[in-house]
Amino acid sequence: MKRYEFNEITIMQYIFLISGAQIGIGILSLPAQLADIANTDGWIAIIIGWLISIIASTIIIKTMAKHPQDTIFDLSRRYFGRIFGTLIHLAFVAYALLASMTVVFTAIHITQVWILPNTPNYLIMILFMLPGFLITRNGVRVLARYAEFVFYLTLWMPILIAIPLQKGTILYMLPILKEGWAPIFQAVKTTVLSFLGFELAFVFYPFLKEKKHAIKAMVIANSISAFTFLLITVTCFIFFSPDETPSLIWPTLSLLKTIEFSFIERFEVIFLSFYLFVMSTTGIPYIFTTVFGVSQLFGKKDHTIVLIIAVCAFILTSFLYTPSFSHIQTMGSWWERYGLWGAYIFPIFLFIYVSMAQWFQGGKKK
Amino acid sequence: MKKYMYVFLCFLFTTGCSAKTQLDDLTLALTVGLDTGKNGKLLIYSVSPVFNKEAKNIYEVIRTLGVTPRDGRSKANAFASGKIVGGKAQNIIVSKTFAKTHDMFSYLDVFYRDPKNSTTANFIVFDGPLKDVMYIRLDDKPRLSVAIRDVLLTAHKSKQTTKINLLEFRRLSLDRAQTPFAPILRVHKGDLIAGGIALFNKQRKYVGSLSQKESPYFAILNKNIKPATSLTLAIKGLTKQKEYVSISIEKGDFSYKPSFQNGMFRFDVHIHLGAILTETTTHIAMKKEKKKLEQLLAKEIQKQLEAIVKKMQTYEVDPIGFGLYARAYEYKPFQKQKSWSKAFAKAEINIHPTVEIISYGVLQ
Repeated sequence: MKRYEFNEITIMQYIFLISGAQIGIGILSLPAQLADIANTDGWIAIIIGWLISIIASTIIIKTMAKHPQDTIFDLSRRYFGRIFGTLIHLAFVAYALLASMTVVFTAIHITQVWILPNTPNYLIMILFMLPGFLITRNGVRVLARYAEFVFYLTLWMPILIAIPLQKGTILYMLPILKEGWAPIFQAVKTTVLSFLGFELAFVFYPFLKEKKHAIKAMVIANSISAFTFLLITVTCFIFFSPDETPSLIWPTLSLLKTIEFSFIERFEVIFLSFYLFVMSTTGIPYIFTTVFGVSQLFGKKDHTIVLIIAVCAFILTSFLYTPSFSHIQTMGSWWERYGLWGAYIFPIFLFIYVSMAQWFQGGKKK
Repeated sequence: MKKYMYVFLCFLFTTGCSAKTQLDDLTLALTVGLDTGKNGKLLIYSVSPVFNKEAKNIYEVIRTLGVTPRDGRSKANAFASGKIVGGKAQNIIVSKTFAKTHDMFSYLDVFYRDPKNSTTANFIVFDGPLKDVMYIRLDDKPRLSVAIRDVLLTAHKSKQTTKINLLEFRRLSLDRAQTPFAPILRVHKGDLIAGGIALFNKQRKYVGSLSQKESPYFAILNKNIKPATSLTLAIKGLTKQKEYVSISIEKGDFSYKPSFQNGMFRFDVHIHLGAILTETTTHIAMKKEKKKLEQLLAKEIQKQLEAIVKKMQTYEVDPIGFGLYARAYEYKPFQKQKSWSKAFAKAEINIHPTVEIISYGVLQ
């Protein structure tokens, strides 16, 4: 029985959906955070983070593969019973809600600081929610198509980032392993969190058409993200001096500010306008997960009503509450703390639990 | 439902109509100047073009007294002909006396912090009070801001001075291993002249300068010889009388080798320059004397390079970035130094230039 037949997505769409969710707001500040902890050795931490995230996503896929038609919401009900299952269900919904709030509010804040300083944030919120609503309403397939489309649409951006690379000083990168491995391992905690987004496989895996390639797809998605993180971080490191990078909040954007052609100035405005697409592929899957999770909780098949309520709630919130930058940072750190449990530790326990349960049932398939 | 959506979307296109800004309603500060005013206050100049057919001058200069650049701008808005916009700034000029006594970062902060401001504006030190340049009459040149930029770029290309923008200035200032520098502009008999290099210390204060004559050598040490660096050297020894030889350096190979011995840094700098002989005041038999001429030129260049390195060491500044090599290859001792500038001042620097004459023109 295939429950999500109408919404099946191809392997490519799945890859771009996951890597789209990974590349979002974190990348704008990642180089500064890394330079703060590990100086210019921070890029090594990205590679380690990449390996860890691949391991974690493999565990998620292995768990999900035991019941290929189940999302995490169905799985938690199946294994943990009504009460505990609902609790896990709620926790995951809360996590996705927190993530989508963080992404949306950060995106609004960045837009206000860099592009539209005089526009009130509820207006930007309405503009963000309009496409968000249209895409989320149509379910996973449209969402994945959108992710793929955005990926092709933004392929030129890494090339642009490489322009400042020519003016960089490679000497900044030396010596490698300045202070040994200790700061690098400390930085791994940050890089691991910038890979957050693969845990959405918990929700999107059942929609995948060719499930035997799922692990390969996860590896590719993580690699796309890792490559992007590496490119931007290394560019920032050799363009700004090592002591300067931590002093910038969004080094990636400061980097773009320096690109100037004789016919255009303040290139970061154009870049950021396009980057809103990239941020939307992070925010919308989380919004979808929230809405999908809530409608599953009530046993509803169609999630449009929940979505309308959610969108209205988002817009209403932005009317009443304009988060300051420090609030956004707090929100981000909550997400990261939550994400560390939700995406790295929880899957391991879940995998062990599910394997044990199956073993005790003696291979009896339900 | 869908139809209404499209109608609604059409309205979004009209959002730009209400908050439009006309170009001639703005005062675009293309050049910003900072100088010391009365009572230790800050004297802020801003030069902006005037887009009005009836106005006699093609640019206006606004002078205000304030405590910070942003404070000065708010005051200037009181009598500017339009709202002042800083995002198009091309030049940031500070006077030498101002740069000597003030930490530059306290006054440049607004350019870095406000993302609407441009960080690619040229940073320039002006030798003399700023009113000399702000009220200069340049009848045969374009608008002042453009003229300053043009003079600077031309001088930079021929290595008479250097060029640095705000962003690079910040990068050098914040790096432990380097110190910032800036081009010098001055007014001589009603002409704008860009020449020489101002050196800043770790506290971002002006400490000294390299003359216009020393600038090409600074460029060589900085590995910045493209498109071509032309030098005129006085050499003796080839013929009996004093002779001048001009060369144009086309390419260079550089190696900076740092080492650390007995609590002191040591740099062995090998520079191999490929040059074209462009002029000699006396006849030199090139076929025979090429080797000797090359050695004499190398010796003269070495003298000049050593002189400017000595100068930088006495000022305790490292605009070349010797510290970068020290950090990259001698990380442990570098990290132990409390202040790289102090360590650099004590360092032993050996410069060994070699010159190869690639061609000597169409004469024998």
